Amino acid sequence: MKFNTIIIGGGLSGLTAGITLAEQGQRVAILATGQSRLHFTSGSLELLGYNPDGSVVTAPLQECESLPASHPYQVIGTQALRQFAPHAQELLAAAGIKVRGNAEANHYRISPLGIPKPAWLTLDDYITADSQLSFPFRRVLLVSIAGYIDFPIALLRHGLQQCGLECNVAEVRTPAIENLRTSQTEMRATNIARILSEQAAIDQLSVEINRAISGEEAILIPAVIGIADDNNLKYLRRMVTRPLFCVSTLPPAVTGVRLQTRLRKRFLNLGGTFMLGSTVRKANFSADRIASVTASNLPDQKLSADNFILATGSFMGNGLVATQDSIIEPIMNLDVDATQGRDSWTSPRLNDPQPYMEFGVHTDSSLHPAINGHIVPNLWAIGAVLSGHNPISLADSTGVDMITALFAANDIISHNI
Amino acid sequence: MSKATHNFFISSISDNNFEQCLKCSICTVYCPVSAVEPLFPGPKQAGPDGERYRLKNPRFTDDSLKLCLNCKRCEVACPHDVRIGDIIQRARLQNSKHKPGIRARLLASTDLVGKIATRLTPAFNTILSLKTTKEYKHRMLGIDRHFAFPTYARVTFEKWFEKNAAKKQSGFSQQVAYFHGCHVNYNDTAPGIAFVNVMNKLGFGVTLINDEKCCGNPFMANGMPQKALKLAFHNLNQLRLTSQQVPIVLTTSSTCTFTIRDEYNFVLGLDNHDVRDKISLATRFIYKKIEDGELILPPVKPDFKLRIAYHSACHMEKLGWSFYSSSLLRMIPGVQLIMLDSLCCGMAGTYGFKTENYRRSLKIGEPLFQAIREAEADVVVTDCEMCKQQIEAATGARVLHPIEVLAMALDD
Ligand code: SF4
Ligand code: SF4
Repeated sequence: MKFNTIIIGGGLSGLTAGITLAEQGQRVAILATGQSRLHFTSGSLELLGYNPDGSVVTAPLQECESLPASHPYQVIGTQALRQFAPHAQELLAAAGIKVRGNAEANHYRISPLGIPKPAWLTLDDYITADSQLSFPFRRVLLVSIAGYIDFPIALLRHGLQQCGLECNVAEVRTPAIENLRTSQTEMRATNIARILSEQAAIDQLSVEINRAISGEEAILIPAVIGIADDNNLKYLRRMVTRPLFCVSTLPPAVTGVRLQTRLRKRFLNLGGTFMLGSTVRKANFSADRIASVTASNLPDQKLSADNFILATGSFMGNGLVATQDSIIEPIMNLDVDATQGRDSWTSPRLNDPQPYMEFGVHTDSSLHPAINGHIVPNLWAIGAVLSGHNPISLADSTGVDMITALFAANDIISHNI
Repeated sequence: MSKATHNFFISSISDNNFEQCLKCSICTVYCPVSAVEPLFPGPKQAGPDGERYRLKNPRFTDDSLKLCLNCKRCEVACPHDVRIGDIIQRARLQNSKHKPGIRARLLASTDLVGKIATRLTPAFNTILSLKTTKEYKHRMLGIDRHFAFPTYARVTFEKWFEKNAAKKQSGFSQQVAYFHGCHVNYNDTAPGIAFVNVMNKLGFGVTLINDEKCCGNPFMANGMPQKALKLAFHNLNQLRLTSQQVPIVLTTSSTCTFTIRDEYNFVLGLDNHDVRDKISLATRFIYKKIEDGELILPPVKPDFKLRIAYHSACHMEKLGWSFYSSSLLRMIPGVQLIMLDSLCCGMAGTYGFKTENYRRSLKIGEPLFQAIREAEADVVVTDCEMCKQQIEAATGARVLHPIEVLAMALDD
């Protein structure tokens, strides 16, 4: 099997790069072990939420200048951030994902625990506040679904009240959803969303919501509708008597599944090959370049390409592996930035920035990794596998995913003309 | 570039594989049964979570495990290589207290029932389609009356081969062996006949496996591990014998292939490593030969035109081989290929035949059927014979095997 580019990893960064390359007519394959971290995304993407000193970022494009030189945005140059941030939004739109927001100014999303957090882009149907933390309404009805445990309603209500909203709570039950309660463990956002993919079930729900409304100006519901697209959510919005917005839930997140599904579909429609269940175990080199890779489920098949992109993610995706005494990139043993000695990997206080979160593959300014200091010229590393960023303390993960993916894809295209 | 790359991956086939679970619940999102059946605890709960308890005390094995289709979509989705489907199947087979009833035996015995039925066709087909028979099966056996049971071929594939093809096979310098599977032999011989024609056109003679028996998959699915083991032993031996003469064994059924390559080892615990890599789907074999430049696709009929909707069967998805079949189809001039979203059809071997499953089975398949209706293709193509059965019954679409398409396209 011969491709122009093979991407190892099928999450947000791999799909972003894959779509961009396929749009330019490249023959692209994405190899993925399984489904990705996208399944945990709430309804928002973040470019840069906090400064290294912990203060909230209001203008990401300006404040990124003060990031340390090791941060991926600085590695590729903050100019690239300016250039590619609008592309990210266009790419989402082309995949059928409508978002609000921009890179000039952060807005606020509401976390599943009711805490406002700075965000870059938020799905159109989610509740957000502007940079001053003000909402377009004051009195809201917070709808909870009976038996659904991944929506901590008391915390949410408290959080929303702290933000200055007046918040009434109504618990609704409908016959279709009640049926799901037979199994407590399976009462999850994604399973509720399957039930609510039938219009009759939405009808039942809208009746219950309308009945619960008294004087509120808006309705907030957990994000449990729209696993494949947002058609049914639009339908519900038409059926209820007040403006309706979603609040993100604990994972697995319906919106995350929708993002994954839409992006993958877009990639396939552009002629891309997506191989799920294919863990890349080995890269085969010819001199200093990668000639092909081998996947776990196709051991006798050489998958060759001119260019390779490593988008395997961090520890959770096995993009990085911690052994007893070292941090390793397991496919090619690429050079990794990490501190020496296990004790230095973590901070004793849970809420402090954790050093291990910033470990990752070391690259040059074009995102080429190295082995023993020797650059691999036809390999690019993108997304969470990169060193120098921190998804928690800087709130930069989805931004790093998309921006480095767009950077690498454009670099590949410019070299292949 | 000589820095050693170690193998840092945790072995994924250990008995403690369930401990690799991160509890992320992603598997549940992709389980076709969980999507429609709240009584099923879902892959995470039935698989790695339940396994902890079952290891302590087999008493924790419960009947809901039966609801699992063994489609392995959970495994394909799992980011941490947990063999969820295998764990569930093993638990079912090891701890099942119930003796399989007459229906399970009937549905599983594809070989035996096939042998009797083909002798008696067309009478058997008429009897099968009779209302009273359907009523009897429904009431007494629990085979749903709505279900169009597969009809039986008048002449088995093996008989056809003996009569029409066997003699000329020695005239080819290269040989492949063919594991045809029960369905090709007793129910739908067309893919088998197409296979022989295509291989001959490509310059290969075909040998059958001496005394091929059912791969055993239906016995695993119907809770009869001893029967399955016996068949697996038998087939492994026969495959070993055949491959001494003809080292390449090709198949057309994705499920037989998957069973022999993976389930023999992971579920039944047999050592099949010497046989495993010799077995391949015909589409994969042909694609790779063409890709390696060892084979050129012969000319196709000049006016050949076909709009195909390709359905990735669950076990093709697990094998990672849909790429081969779909890419081979794409190579045929005149083919317009639409890749359907990879979804389960709900049939899962004999699952959908059963009265208690029939409705659920159709409900599981509904998103796929919808996609097929929207695709407006001339034909649906899939590598799995049971998907074919389900899709034809539910949508009325014509369903072909990729090798049948190739046979149709090649010029005479
Ligand atoms: S997807 Fe895998 S790791 Fe996640 S809960 Fe399921 S079995 Fe566990
Ligand atoms: S094998 Fe299929 S039916 Fe069984 S638990 Fe996994 S996804 Fe669900």
